Amino acid sequence: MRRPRSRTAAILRKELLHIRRDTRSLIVAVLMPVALLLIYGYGVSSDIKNIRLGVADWSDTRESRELIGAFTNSGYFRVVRRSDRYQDLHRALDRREIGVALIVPTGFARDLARGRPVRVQMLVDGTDPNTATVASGYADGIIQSRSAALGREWAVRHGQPFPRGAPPIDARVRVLYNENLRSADFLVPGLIAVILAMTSALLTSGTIAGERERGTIEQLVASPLRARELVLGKIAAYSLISFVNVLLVVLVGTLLFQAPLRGSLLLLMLASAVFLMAALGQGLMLSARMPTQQTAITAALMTTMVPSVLLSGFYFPISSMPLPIQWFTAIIPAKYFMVITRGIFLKGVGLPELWPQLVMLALYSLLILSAGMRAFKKTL
Amino acid sequence: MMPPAIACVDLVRRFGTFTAVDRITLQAHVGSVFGFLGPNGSGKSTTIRMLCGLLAPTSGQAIVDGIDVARDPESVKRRIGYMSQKFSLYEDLTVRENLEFYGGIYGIGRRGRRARIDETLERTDLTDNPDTLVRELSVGVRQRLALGGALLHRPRILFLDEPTSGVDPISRRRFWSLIHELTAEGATILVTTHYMDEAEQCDRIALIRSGKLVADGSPADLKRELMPWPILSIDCANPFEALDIIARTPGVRDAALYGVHIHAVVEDTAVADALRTALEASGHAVYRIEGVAATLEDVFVAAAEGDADA
Repeated sequence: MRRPRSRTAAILRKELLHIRRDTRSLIVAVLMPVALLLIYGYGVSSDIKNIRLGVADWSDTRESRELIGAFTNSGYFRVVRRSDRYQDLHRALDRREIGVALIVPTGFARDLARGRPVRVQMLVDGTDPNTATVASGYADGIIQSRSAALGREWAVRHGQPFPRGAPPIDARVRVLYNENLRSADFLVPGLIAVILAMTSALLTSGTIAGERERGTIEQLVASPLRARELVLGKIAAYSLISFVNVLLVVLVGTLLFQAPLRGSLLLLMLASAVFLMAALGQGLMLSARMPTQQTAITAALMTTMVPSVLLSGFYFPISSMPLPIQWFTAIIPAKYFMVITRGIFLKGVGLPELWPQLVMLALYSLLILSAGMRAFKKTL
Repeated sequence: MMPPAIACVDLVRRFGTFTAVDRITLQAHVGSVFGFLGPNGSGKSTTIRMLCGLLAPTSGQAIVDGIDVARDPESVKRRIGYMSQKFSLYEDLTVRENLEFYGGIYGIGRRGRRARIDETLERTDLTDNPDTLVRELSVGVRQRLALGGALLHRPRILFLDEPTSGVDPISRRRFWSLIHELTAEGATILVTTHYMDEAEQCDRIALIRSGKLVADGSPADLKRELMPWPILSIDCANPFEALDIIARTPGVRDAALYGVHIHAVVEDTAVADALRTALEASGHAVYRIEGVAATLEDVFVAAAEGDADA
């Protein structure tokens, strides 16, 4: 008599008992993702202040001083150097004495008065792409709001809008989808992906290796239990914890860090479920392959933390990586999930835009789970 | 005659260049207790693993309950109960939860499971503590529970790998009365042990040394075949020193300490007089010398040292 479903259920129940009995680990498992989000969220996303600004004011007029004043009054920038020479500012950037240079052209006030848009040049120190992105975002916001104010002044004075519909000041630095100039908006959805990748793989990495260490695996192998049933039963048990993690992390991200959730929560949950299969499956596969619990856990950390932080597009845009590395990122599930979380959170997009990522995640889950089943078979 | 419950022919298992099991052939009949004896590392567990379908043999054939294990290990697994040498229950689960789990992975339906578990608890004498966590149980109780786990799906054939090691004598006796109860109901049990009193209780025993079968038969057969010489039990002063004198006395084939006595394998019981003279001449008071029946331990020690075929 074959009752595969009841065997899978037996594994599921047993794993839930293990989890329930080990209260301390359960608390760690549930709180770790939230703790990580808090640490990373506050550590990484707290808005960058006091960016050192270098200024070349070739216009030296009331209007140009107002623009520079807008920078300093924002609280984000502090003018630490003034020079009329472009090279001075450039060198200061090279030496990291300033983070951003602002150059106001000679004709700034004159052109504005004639109703001609002016171009303000910004130089941003790109060695820290994260800070650079945030800094250019701020600068962009400040210039836009200054520009809008000038436009209103023009309209009041001349009784008509600024000519040619152009904004009076043209700033070329832009940060897409983060118009609030809040880095948390951008970081939190990515962090959710990174944290879930790490903690989920960690959860399952100990289970099969642990059974091997304790000797209980022998009894399982001697029973009619199939690899498929073992893997699915364990995944089912741990996905319950991981799903609680998803909910908590999304909750903390939206309530505490106020990341905007513009898209469908339902789609986010669905995508999370698919992603969890991939991450939990990765941990389980390692657990079946590694000789001890310790090595399995270490392997899970190494194969999730480093790639999902560095190669998923979380910090560094994948498009700016060398081509071979770009290809390599294709096998990192966090990469696809990050596109999904950012898409749902920031752009509010749905299935029509995100299905390719979802398909990739589903494919990855299937592959990794069947690899886990094969790996367990080998220990027979 | 019924086909044997367990049979293997020329079973070999190599790990690299090391031959763990070297052409073992044996048969266990339905309803019997088959004892598997041998020093640690002699290949007992490896043989059991092959019989249970956990390990593929390098060559040879194993047939359990009429099924070729190599051809259909999963069918064999459904029909047998296995208790591994390493304790393999979940310590953070209770007695009942462990049995529930075994019931689940052996595909016993939820409805029938409860009754089956109660019956197993009863049978293994665990009705007092079904809700105790396993880690709080003594070794003897744990081993009974492990047996219960192996019994739950009512297998006809049981493989018990050192089920009583580290278990106190009273628990061991209880364990063995359960074994006899099961065979009386028709089950076949293959058991490994280091205890001679347990070996005496087997219907048939196989002695294995360095992966090779040394002897195979009923305890009485083995004593007769492997110990054709009489044995003298000698009680004297300073047995430790006396051992050397005894071993050098003509007519003595072998001598070994046996508790506080010395067991000497002799060619003829008449050597007793020569022994008494030799011992007293060297200043060892002799309290008693008498002929004794060979025990399995005598056989086992002789076989394990490689003197059995001398």
